[in-house]
Amino acid sequence: MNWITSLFSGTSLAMLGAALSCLLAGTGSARGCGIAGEAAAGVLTEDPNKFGQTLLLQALPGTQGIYGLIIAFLILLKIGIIGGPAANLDPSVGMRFLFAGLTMGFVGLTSGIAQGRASAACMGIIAKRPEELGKAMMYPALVETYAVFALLISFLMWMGIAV
Amino acid sequence: MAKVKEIKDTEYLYASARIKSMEKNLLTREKLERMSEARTPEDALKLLGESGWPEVPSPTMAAVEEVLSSRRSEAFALIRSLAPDKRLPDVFLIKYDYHNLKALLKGEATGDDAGDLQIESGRFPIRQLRLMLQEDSFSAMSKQMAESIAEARDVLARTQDPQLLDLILDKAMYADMLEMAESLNSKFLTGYVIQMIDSVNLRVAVRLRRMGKGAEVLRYALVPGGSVAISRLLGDVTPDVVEAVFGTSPLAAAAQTGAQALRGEASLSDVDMACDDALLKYLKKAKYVAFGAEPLIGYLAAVEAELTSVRTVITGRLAGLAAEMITERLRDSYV
Repeated sequence: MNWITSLFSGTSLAMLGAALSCLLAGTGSARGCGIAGEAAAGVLTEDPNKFGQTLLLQALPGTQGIYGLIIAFLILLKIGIIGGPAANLDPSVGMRFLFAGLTMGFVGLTSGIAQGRASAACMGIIAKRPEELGKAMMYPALVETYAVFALLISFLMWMGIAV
Repeated sequence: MAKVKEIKDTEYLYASARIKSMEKNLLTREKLERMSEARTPEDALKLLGESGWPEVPSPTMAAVEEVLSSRRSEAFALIRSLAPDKRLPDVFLIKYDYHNLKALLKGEATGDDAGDLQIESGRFPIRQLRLMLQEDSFSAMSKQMAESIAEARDVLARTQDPQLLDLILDKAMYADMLEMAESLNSKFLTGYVIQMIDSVNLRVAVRLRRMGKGAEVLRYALVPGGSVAISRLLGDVTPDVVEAVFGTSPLAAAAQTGAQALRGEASLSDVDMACDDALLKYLKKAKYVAFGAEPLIGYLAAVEAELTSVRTVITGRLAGLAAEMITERLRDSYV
């Protein structure tokens, strides 16, 4: 039964939290940027002058991945995987890190994809009215709010966990 | 045809964005009006050139038709290359096949080749179509098409009435289009074909009624598959019946014009116009779909409408019609 105990050791659980935060939020951003990028390519085929505007819209869903990375990094820092020495964590403490990472990870995944779709739809605005870039950016930017909320809560959770 | 698995709207991301970029190159009504008002037909064609159209070498209808036909082929080739399901443009091409079939079958009966009436844009090249008719090999065709050919030949031999042949082939054509749209799994496309069938039925009912034809002919001419059951049109087609039957469909406004036409207050071309407007209104919904099959379908329909408009303007100009008379005949534009 040695592997079960090591699987549910505090450090393993905390690392799972870090992994999920990075993995899920990163997936969300990758999908979102991919969706927006495909639409951007369609606009650019007809009008290469719109590179700047379409790039801005495509970059918007990229932030979730960064948030996920930040939380993962903070967790690894606190449990001593980075900058050691590695702390000997109680499973209950590890579980708290897992929840903190999961919050950012899950919201990052869903909001990244949703933001990508909104960005792709707004590529249609750039296709027809490039002068309305400011307005076109507002719609996908609104989705960002919820990723920021998740980042905030994940961060507060992380702050409150005493190792 | 077997149902294909549903295509996700995200598979249309590149295509939709590209089509939306191209939509702004479509001719606006304003541009078409300016063409109608240009000093000479040559000036009108020059305006066309300024909008990115290829140059028309001479101000004749034959030269214009050539450009129109190449524009059409280009648009269809583009959509075919962009769409995840390559059969998407076929729904729009079916009508050319049937158009050519009609010409060929009539030619068969009269011994006249009727080559100039054919349009080389369908799914089957005209040569192949002719060969299939000669050799009676219908395996490449849909069931509807093959059956309609047999029926049309039979009826034509008995009655010598080319109008009946048109009716038979039209019916098969709409059945073909509906089946194709359904097999493509696009609600929007199916809805488009259904509304097309409804508007054909409205037009036919009004037209035949004005001609004093009874239920017998109507039963033959009405096309099944629309949202309105054709049995409701088989009784006495009075203005009130037309309004009631189509009143709840998107064709309500067109039905009112139809009722007016039956009372003698509007012309048949007004009815056609109202039906076209209703169809365009349906298609315009595609403009509000960010990505999916809709923008592609809308674009194809818009290109076809654009070609018709250009043809209307240039024919009018060459015939020396006044600008108002030409613009009166122009339909609304998609963009």
